Amino acid sequence: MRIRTKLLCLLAVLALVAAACGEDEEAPEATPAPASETTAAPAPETTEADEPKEMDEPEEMDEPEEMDEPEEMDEPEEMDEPEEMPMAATYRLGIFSAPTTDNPWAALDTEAEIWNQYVIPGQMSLYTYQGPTYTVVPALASDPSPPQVEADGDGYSVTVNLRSGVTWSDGSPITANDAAFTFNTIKKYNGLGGNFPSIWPLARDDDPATEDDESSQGVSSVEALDDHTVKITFNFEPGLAIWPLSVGLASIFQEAFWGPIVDASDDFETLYAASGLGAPNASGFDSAEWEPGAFWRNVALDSYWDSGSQYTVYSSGAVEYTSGGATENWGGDPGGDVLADYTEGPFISESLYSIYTDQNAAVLALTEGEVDFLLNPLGLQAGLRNEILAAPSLEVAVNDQNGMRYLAYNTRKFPMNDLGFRRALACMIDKDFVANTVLGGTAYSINSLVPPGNAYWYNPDITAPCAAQSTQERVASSVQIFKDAGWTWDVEPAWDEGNRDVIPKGEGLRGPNGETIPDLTLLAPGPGYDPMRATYSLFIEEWATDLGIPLSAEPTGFSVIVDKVFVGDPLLWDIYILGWGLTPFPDHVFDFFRSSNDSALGGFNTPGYSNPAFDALADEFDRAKTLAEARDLIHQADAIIAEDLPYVTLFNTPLIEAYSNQLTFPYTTILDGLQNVGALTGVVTIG
Amino acid sequence: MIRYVTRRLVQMVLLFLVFLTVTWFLLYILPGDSVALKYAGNPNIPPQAREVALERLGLDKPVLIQFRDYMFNFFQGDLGVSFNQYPRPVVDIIGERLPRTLVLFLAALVTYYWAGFLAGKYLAWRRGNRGEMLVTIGGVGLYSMFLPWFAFMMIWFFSVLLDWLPLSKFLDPEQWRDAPFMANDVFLRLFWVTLIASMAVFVSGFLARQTRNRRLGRILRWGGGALGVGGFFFYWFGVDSGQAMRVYAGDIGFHMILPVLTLTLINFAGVMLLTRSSMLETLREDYILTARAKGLPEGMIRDRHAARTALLPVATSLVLAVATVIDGGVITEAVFSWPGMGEILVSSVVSEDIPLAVGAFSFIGILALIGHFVVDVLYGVLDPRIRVTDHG
Repeated sequence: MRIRTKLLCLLAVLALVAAACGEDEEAPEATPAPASETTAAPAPETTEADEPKEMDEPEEMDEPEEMDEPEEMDEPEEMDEPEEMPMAATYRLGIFSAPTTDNPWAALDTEAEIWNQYVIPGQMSLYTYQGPTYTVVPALASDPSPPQVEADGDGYSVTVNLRSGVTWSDGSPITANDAAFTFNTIKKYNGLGGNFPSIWPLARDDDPATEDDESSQGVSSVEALDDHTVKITFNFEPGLAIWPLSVGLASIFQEAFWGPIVDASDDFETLYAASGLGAPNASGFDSAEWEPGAFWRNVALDSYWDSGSQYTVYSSGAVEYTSGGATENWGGDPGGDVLADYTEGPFISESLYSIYTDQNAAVLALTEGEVDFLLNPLGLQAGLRNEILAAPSLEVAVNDQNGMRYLAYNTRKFPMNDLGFRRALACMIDKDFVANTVLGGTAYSINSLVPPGNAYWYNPDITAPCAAQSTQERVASSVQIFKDAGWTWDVEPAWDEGNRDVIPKGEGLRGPNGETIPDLTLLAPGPGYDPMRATYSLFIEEWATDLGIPLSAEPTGFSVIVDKVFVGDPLLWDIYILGWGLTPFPDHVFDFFRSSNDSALGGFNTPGYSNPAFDALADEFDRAKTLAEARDLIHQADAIIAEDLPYVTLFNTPLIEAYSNQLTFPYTTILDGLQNVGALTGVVTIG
Repeated sequence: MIRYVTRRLVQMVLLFLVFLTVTWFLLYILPGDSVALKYAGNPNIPPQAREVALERLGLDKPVLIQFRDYMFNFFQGDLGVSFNQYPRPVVDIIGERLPRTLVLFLAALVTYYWAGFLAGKYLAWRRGNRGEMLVTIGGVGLYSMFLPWFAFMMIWFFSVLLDWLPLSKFLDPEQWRDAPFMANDVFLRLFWVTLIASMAVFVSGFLARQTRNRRLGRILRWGGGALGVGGFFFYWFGVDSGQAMRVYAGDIGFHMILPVLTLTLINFAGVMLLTRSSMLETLREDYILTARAKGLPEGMIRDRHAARTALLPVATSLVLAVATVIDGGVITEAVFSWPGMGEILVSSVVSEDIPLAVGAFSFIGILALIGHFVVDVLYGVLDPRIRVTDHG
């Protein structure tokens, strides 16, 4: 090699280093924006992940009060002396995938990725979930509790009064016209890309094909009666799941910014192609900069309408809100322990989201102080927990995850259509053994459709089939269940105490009518995708074999399982294992099992479960008006499913999050972790 | 030669058509459904919305019609829109990722080929000494390293322990705050400036070799080198547009050091062994003996007689490797948080985003075909013994 070339290469490298390290006169200085006064805690995104997540020991949360009784406004109290605000700083967050859009419409619809939702400042809604209890509290609405729907002509309507003084990030007031504009936009584009109709169900009164169909039920109109009053009209009487827990929580967009774009085009693609960087939003931040693949930056607003407001959240679910000297109580009377007591910020100058596409690299960045918090819907791997705990500058928060991994039977087919079969196999599944022994305590078993972390809705009375039995007892119980249901064997399985195994294993198992069982397949994600579910499937295969069930576990790609069970021929699969990420309001308990939602009809009832008693409960749930009523129905439904077993819930895992000890959060215990409230950018303090 | 080139070009077009067809159908028959995947997380989405989505994406049409439409649009320059980033055009997404992949992996490729060729040449020349064994064992040891582990060790050593280099990413967000340029603009500028400077050095070196006038050859070699390298630095330090971008280009370059070093250490041994064996064969040739008998200096025999011939298989391998640069490296991109084409390829296939996957693969296909074509032509240039005739 020529010396000349070597020299030049060396020079090139040195020049790059010098250029990177050197000051550049033309380079803009990294001056932090001045701290603004406030922001509301970002409304928790109720995204539904298709993948399961992780969790911790369930923490008890007290029950929130019923939401339908408006609370009295307290007399204005004397404001305390303003506390000294911490110095403004940059809140550096690591995210594991690059945002794909800056358009808030697309981020809620065709590009509904969690990474987009983390970085794009939140829009306004009439009501919102208040962390850490997920109590429904007013956002734009002024009524402390969502008003009741009333009969109105041929349909039903609800009139919501709006707060005054609530402004977009550009300082203009948020009015009822913005709510009407948002609905009319969704209607104009026929539901846009698909996600919006799940939040704003569109009434289809004028479509004869669906006139009598449940799918024609929805919102007929949203009208601005005046700037501070909005009227929402339904063509049916909606229950809690629609009002307020869907429509009431739906995003509202600013008409002044988006209206001209909507007016200019008849296709929603034009709307989605528009940049939303800097678009007015309702949080305490403005999106300032997006470098695709590298970082996203939001800057704190100088004046945020909710800045300085005081929130006190009680374990009863009640929230005490003080703003402008007036105090309101939301979600019932304050009671129980104070879970959080804080002032709205933002107390940071900006939030800077850097992209780390590898979890280990991200953890290194955290331990090295390059970022303050790692945002990930799945949290961190359990194996990294000790490494993080060893770092003196880091803290760890472990929270329950609102999700579940489950096994589903195809109840349309023999033998899964036989309750005895479902129960006998479920009885053999020793969830605690797998969670504690096989998975080494990195997971915990669950029995109900609502995980224990969602304390208000959780039904603690549901137990696993053959709970607390030894393997020997499980074998005996399963055999008995089969026998009681009329099943027979050529060779009956039995527990051999000497060998500590099932010897002989069952052979020639036949159904109540003498039918032999065809070879069955258990579809489960492979070890590369989820080693826990893959491991679980192997144990279930073994337990089934013990009983004489010809079941083989088949590691299968996630997309393939989804395709088979949600879209494909419903008779072409037997049993599968997948997981769900869930929302705080557990309407999934009905969505997953009502017969009208059969996956063959395009719904999410993959097992094809059909039970008139359950459907009647579901219909009642649709009409439920109070949380207590809804909870009672959820508990009943959960118990029916635990008895009929179209699903066998298996386990959950804790959500582990790590952050710099320079951060101070008003709370760290919250279902689905701090990531579910956007790492609390609006209230966190640094230093 | 012209007939040969024309025939190869026609073959390339036909081959590309076959490649595109096979790729499209392979992706199409993958089990799974992108729309189902998209909506699998939300049970409240009405089934009608799914139907509308299928219609919007053209997935409600028969497969052959979908294929016909795709091909028709493809050859009009429309690669469609991504299913997962709807309605973003595929070309936009590839355009966003391609520059950063090209810059990183081309830099790594050139570096490890250069290092490998250099090491291979010396190993063959000094065959049998202790150094040979040491470098061979070391190189092969590195070559067999598990990339993710080794990359982390590199990060740990250089970024955590020594704190010399950045942990990962392709830029420092703090430094890029309110930057007047997008990173892609800087990547492209880096690419073109470096390419032009390299071309100047390469062409002058090539001309220097062609001339029999040693004085002119020296002037060309040094002059071209100075022009290329000087031009490179002059652009960044002397031209307004370069000066404005310099800090940002430097930051990107600084972030490239660790991934390039890692890839070089992992990969150079392959090139080294190829060069070594090729060079050893060459050194046994009669003309090398003749050169020695003529009393030519050792360096000249090594560099101008032996290494030039030994370069042939290395150059072939290099050109073919260039063609695969575009697909990046999923692991490298992930570990160094350098989201590029590799990440697109994997995520689009997994999520069954057919337009994006086919679009990304088609770029690789085109580059691979061009690479093969260049190799075919280059053979004739590099090795006078190989001549393309009308029969060939």
